[in-house]
Amino acid sequence: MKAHEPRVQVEEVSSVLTPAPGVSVEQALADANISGADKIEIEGGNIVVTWYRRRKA
Amino acid sequence: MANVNMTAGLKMVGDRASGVAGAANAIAGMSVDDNTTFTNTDNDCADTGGSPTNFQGNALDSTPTGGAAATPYVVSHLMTLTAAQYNTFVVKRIGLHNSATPTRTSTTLMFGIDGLSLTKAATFSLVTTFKLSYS
Repeated sequence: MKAHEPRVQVEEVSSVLTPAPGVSVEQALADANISGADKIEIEGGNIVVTWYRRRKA
Repeated sequence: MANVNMTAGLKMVGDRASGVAGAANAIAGMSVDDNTTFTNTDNDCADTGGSPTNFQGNALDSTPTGGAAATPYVVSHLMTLTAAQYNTFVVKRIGLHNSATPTRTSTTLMFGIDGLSLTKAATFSLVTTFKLSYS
């Protein structure tokens, strides 16, 4: 007999930084002074930061 | 970088799923603050490290949404910090709460991550997505 072992987990936490009108992506990125992120990307004028992603076995 | 499943959060999920009498409210808010770490026995954001110097708790932008009916089943929670909120302060922890008005000491903390660093400024708004998976 094998039982299913249900789990509740944090799957992923990410943030999108949208520069204010008239502010460049580069300025926003510099102001944010980000560290501890798993990944940082620039997409469509926004900064996408992946803080945590569950590592799949 | 670490994710923390608070004991209180797991209890809340279990109670609501099984209809246990007195089950806590559903997840409804998110917070950011500048304390360094969470511990899985935390009940509020003033437990590990004491009361944060800077704290912002907001309601979720909208009702959480579920992904495809697959394993794992993923539910997404979004919260916006406007360009005017939490400025000059450093985000070091993000917490998920069962209240739309979380405070430093409200015993509403369910899940969280720590070990990050982002200085919030007036030059950008910030939308954070916190995903939980059920498998």
